[in-house]
Amino acid sequence: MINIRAFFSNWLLWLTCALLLSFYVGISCGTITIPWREITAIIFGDGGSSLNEVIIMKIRLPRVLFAALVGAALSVSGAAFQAVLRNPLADPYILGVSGGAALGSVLALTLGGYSVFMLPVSAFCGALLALLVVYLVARSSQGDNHILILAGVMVGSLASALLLFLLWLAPADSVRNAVFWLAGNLSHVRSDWLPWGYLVAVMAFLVLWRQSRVLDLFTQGEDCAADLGLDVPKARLLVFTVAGVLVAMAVSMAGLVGFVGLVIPHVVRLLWGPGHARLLPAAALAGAAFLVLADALSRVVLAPAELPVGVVTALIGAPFFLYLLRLRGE
Amino acid sequence: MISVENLSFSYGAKAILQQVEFGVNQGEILTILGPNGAGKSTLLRLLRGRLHPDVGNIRWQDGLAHQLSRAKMATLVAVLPQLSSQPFSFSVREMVEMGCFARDRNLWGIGDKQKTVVADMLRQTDVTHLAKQRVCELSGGELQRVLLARALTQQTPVLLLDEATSQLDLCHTRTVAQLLYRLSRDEGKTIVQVSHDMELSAELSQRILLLNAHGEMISLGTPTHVLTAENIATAFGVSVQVERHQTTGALRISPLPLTC
Repeated sequence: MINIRAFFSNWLLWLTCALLLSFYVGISCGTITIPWREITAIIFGDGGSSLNEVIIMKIRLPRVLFAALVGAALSVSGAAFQAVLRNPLADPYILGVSGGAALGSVLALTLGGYSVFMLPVSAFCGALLALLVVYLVARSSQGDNHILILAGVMVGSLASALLLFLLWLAPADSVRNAVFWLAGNLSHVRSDWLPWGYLVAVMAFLVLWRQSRVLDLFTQGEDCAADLGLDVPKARLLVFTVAGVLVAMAVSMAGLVGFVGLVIPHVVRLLWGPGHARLLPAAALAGAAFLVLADALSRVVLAPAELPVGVVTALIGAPFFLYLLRLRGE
Repeated sequence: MISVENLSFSYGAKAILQQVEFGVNQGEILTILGPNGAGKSTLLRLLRGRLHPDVGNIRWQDGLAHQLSRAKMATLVAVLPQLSSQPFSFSVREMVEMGCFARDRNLWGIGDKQKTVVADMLRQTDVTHLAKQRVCELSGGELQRVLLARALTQQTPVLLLDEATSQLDLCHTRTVAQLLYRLSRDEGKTIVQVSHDMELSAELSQRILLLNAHGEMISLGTPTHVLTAENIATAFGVSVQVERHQTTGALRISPLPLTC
């Protein structure tokens, strides 16, 4: 029998290859299929048709980079939340971030109409506000994760109720825009967001990576972590803030893309172990590759129509997750 | 080394510990005995500053327990907690290396000096052969030895052990007891442990602190002085016969037969 861990032991090589492959697939797939050789030629300035060059450089490459950014952000923040909450089945949206972002975005859509600037800003503020409320409520619980998760669920429920109320009041166009956005959508990428997005993501990633051993300690429970020398409240605040910013950024740009932050860290942990010094970069690469491929699929399944990418990730993620749960049960 | 002064503690209206007062000397093994709910584990939490006393103080050489930083406390005292589930499948070596965090916070892992300490502690607790195994695959007893190895890796002058041998078979119980005895005698480590094994505690400890179900001190002193039939009946509400083994001289505590 093949030892899966040994087979995939060189994680960096495997995941870098997977990401490169996903980039080629993501750039190649669409209404017009572009051959891989031409993609290489165009990206390295070595020929190719001018139409395909425009398609690649103006549309598909930014979109693929955008999908990779969102996938990596969700996956890394998911891994961080799972460690701090000591629950490998936690999700980056567990602390009400998704509800806050959704409410913020729908507020922007219903009050101000669709605006490529207002929508992400409003969603970002909503997500951070939700995180802040959850943190303030749970601060008095002295690190009881159940209180934290319950507070997240309650803030999420409150945000959902307000969101439904707003949708009930809103005109039909706004409702359609909101539903499309809420399902996870990478189609409205703007190239000028990318440098900022990558800057925030790389900084947040480096901060979290620096906390790898702290995240390892959190998996032992907050009591044990404190006994091993960790200043738990300070470390928890840092991780929540940074991971929260990553999720808020991803949600504000791409809507609610589900399952990436839940499934990818879990799979990476199964293959390469739970140590965060390796888990975080591996989850970033795997999350990026997964969302790029899911986005490519969302563009070709019903072409020329486009499925929201959140639908694709859920359709792949949910059965796969059920399979993992069954495996775990066995 | 540690001084507990007139300590009282309660969770809300429920009094857990009342007017507890004792000192812990350097290099001694002190065992805290008492029935379930007597506040033994709470006392361990208070000793390491995780809880604030309602009344009284817990004084270490460096200051009051609850005022010392976590980083400082982790260089003074290591804790063997009660067993809990392990949802993340670290390897045994990774788990034991976590004990180095207070002394070596390098992002890329521990240095050579700490690696030697880890290897030594794996050997002392007889888990070297398990080093590559995942902790979720271990038995309760194996996990308990791994957690003890992690606590020892912290290289602190004081160890707090919460039922260190509760999951161990007879062979490993003796191995761990001998290890604790040697650490106390040869390295001058101070050990405060909570236990339910009165005979082993009598054999291992210099002193025993006996609490009743209300968290009040019944007796403090040498095992022979504390573990009398009268004290045990007061603490646990169980009649026992206490005698010395004819050849080894060890205390033997036998409850009256169920048919009596």
